[in-house]
Amino acid sequence: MYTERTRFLQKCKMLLLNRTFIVYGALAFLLLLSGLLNPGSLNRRQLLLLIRQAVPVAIVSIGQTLVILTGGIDLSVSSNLLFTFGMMPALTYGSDSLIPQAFLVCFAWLTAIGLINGIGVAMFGLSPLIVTLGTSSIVQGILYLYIKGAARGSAPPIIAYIGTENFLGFPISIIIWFIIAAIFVLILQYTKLGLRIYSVGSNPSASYLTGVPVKLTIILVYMFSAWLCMVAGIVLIGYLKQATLAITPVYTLDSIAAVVLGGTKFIGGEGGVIGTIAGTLILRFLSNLLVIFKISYQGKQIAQGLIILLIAGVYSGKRIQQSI
Amino acid sequence: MVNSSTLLDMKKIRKSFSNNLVLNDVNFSCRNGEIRALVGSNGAGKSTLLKILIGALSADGGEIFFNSNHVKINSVNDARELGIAMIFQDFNLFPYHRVYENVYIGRELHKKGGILAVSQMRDGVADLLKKMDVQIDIDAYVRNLNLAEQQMVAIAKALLGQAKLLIMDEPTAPLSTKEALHLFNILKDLKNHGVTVILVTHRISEIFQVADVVSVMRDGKIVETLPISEVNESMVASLMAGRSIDAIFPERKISPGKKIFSYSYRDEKIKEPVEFAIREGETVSLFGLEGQGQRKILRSIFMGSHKDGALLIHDKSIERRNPKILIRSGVVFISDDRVGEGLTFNLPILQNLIMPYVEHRMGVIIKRKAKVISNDIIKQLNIVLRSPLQKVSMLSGGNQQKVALGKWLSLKPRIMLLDEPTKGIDVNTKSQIYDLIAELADRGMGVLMVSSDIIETIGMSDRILVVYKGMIVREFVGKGSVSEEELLKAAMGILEN
Amino acid sequence: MRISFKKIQTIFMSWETRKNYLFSCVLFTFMFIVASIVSPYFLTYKNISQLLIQMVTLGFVAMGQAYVLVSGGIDLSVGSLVSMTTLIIALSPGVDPARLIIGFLLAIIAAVIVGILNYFSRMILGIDPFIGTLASMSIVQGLAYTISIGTAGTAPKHLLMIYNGKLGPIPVVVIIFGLVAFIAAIILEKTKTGLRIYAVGQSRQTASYSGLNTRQIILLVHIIAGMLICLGGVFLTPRISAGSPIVGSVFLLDSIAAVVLGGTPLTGGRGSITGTIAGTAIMSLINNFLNMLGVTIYWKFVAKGAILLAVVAGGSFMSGSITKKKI
Repeated sequence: MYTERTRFLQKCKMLLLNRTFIVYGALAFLLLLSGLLNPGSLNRRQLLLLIRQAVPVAIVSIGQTLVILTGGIDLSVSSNLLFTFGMMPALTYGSDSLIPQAFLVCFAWLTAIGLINGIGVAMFGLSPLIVTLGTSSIVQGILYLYIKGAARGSAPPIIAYIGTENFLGFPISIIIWFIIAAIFVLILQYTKLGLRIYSVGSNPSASYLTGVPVKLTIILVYMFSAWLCMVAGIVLIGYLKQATLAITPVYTLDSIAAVVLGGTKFIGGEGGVIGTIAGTLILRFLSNLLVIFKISYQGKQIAQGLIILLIAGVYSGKRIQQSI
Repeated sequence: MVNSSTLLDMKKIRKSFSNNLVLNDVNFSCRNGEIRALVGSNGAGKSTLLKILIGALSADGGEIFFNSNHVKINSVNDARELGIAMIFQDFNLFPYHRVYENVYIGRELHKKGGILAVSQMRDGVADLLKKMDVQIDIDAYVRNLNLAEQQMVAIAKALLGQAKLLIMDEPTAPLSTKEALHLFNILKDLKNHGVTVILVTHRISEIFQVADVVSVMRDGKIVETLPISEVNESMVASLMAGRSIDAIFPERKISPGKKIFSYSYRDEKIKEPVEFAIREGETVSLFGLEGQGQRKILRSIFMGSHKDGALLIHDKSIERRNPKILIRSGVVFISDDRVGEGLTFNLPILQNLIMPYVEHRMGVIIKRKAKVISNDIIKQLNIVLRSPLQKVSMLSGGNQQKVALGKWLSLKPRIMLLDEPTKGIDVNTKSQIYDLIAELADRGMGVLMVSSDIIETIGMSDRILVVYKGMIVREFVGKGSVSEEELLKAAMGILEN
Repeated sequence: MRISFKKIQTIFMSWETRKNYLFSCVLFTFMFIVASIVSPYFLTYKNISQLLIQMVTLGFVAMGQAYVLVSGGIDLSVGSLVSMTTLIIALSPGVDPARLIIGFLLAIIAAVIVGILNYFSRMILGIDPFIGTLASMSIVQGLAYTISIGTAGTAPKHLLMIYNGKLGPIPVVVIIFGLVAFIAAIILEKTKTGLRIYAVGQSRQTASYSGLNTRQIILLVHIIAGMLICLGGVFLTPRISAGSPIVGSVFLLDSIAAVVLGGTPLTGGRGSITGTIAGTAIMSLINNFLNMLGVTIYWKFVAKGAILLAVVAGGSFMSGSITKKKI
């Protein structure tokens, strides 16, 4: 019947325009391309190794997703991660017995950072860009002061184990990522907090009038972001085993790119962790693909930038007609 | 009737907004050097007509003639070029630019190299303002001016652009009586210089001070155009009304019960406090013309502080006031600003509908019950949608309002504060909403309503409190016990018989 | 008469004009005085001229960022553009003095292209400038790495001469910076174009209704910004005597801090070049002062961050934007 057909076509159109669909489609396309151009690179072991490298960024990106959903941004993720990455080995002196203390110290610091970020944005009404910029500078300084400029120490055995070993065939770090992602997907979809986050990001005034605690919600997401950076830092030191300052702090921009590619709107209110997962993987597989092409790191940067323009452009397609 | 002194002629203008016919073959024309008042109730179609005239909207049908030429106005710039300027209610000025910068923006006077010829512009503006007989600090930043002064700047800006037709939307709303008088003098002066003015206003009494001709609009048509000398306020009021009241308003089944809400509002600038109570099952309206303070009173209940006044619900005093506490006490607020305050537009309908319930009645986890609640509301209110997962922005205005209202039903509120409950909604949905409110009232819910639609006010209220200059000046008790003209006169502050 | 808090707020707010640089000038003066008191070495010719020279690159970059911010956007690609500029200059072909000229021309062209790219993603593709310039930053950074992975090239001889030159007591670069800053300030604050840039930043809608061609204005803004940033990179090259693909990264965050401290809010439509220079001076002063104190370089990070937060929080406190209600 006519109406059934149009309804079906309408459903198809809605599906095609759905951002999550677009990003997973792009991911599938990328995988296909990798498989075609370099058969054998898609075996299980390779894939897992590849994904494992992406875990720290992926975890950070989840926190970034929450913050961007509320209409903010967190530029302190790199320094938060670096902080944990540097502090854990330094505080534990490489031994398991000191892990609890080291963990508590890091946790305390990062809770404070999250609070400062959240309170600055929610209660002082400051720009998230500025606040997180400020805290990132402070955190970096504190880290360097403590370790006196030279990264020292190595990861305690337990953490190294987490970072490098497998469990039931999967790298533990990937399992951790999976669990965290699952938790936050569930939080965003099925809990009051999740609804509050979307609501605040979409329309803070209307949320306030419905009785939603807007300020509290904003403070919470910045705290979550900080805590997730801590987890990511622990995973990273477990993976690398040795503390080093040679890590370029690109986590901030990579996490933002992953979130935006994943379909979360930069102004907030729409999107989610599911899309971010795809966004993270796209970036990772893209760089892998370029390695296959023997395109180096430089090329990867360029390609990444172009992809962001392409996909962000597609997402904002409708707005072209309305741009003043 | 077209002759050489006809400046504007709009013929058979038609415009619909998704099934809602707003302009029904409107014919509107004005002559050169005339001050035309355009009046009509809320929703009569005035703003839509004007938006078409200035190019912000496109008509579905009809033609426009300007200076006897057939013109197509497809954009704001088109209108500007023709010499049609509109001064919106929010003036469209740059707050962080100075007065002379705002007046000259787009037409700046400059020396070699693009450097602004500041003193020349200042002189130019000084001249303009002198001609307008207005005293404003030319160097002031617009954001530091009061509303009346900002309006002057907006007018000066239009005049600089050699406007032939100046349209003003509710120009006296932010003005005091003295300032309004001053404005009228300026407009009359403009008239003498050949500028035609169209004034849209709700303040009927004022048109007699400044307009030459008045056009009354109703239900998407211009019903009458008459010279001012041939009309009086009552005539205008009845031309504006002209609809029988009983048609769409539901009968009430019960009569009000005991007192459940009482409020005493104190505004420092106004002598007397405003005090009123609401009883179980009673619908009370705060009615007044634009800017008389009724909205402020309503909003202060939900968002004010105890400094504004004392609030008692079921004889329990509410000390701290914020939305959460009030909702917990059973008071809910539906704003007139759907987009800004009523709904989260980018979220699905489902999320909007379940939000109050989830926020106030559920624990951490959103259970399946939420979906059931959402479906119940959709069914009960007959919300027309493709799927609850659609974004609210996709719905028609009427259905959006149903969502804005319906979401509160799950909380079984005791008092509902409604600000413009049927603003911008088609007739069918309006009556559905009226039925809903009546049903809820019959179940014991108290309603406090602010509406600029006089017919709606009369048809829905058990009691009408007329607000004028921030105070309650009259009270009409009993549903349908007052006529439109009587109510309008009371609202205008006319205290006769 | 007691000076109430409200009175302070009113006085402060009356200076909340478009230019908004009173506070930053006061802050700078305050810091300057404190520095002079705390250390005798501070007011020496050597230190002051070093301070001024250090201000130059950040100053150029901050001015470019200021233009973009005033127009209502933001530019995250400034750092990578600076890096790329140093590489272009350091690796430009030819012999002195032609080498400098060729390098300069190439650098300017590259910078203008980047500016156009940023305009394109912002206005034509309709992408939020944060994301759009994030992408262009990535692209430009990649291009910089393509030119060279590590430091490479040498600064052209004549550029070094200019850099080390002095006109009387004042270093030449400072004079050049002063001239460019003067022109940039005039354009933004005193010309018709500048007025329109502020207008677009305050409200694109209102600007459009007033008959302005917003696209053209924003295109111009990004081109100007590109050129200013390029100049920053040009004068950074002799400082490190080479080109480097990473040397510019610190300027991104520093330029935003400088601009904000200088009274240009991130929301656009307000601010000034003069204020930006004051903000740059504050940032450079922090650097210089801490260096002088012999304090570990890491305290710089802490200090910068803390001062930024304190100033911004204080500013928002003063302008009364802390409201009890979110509405």
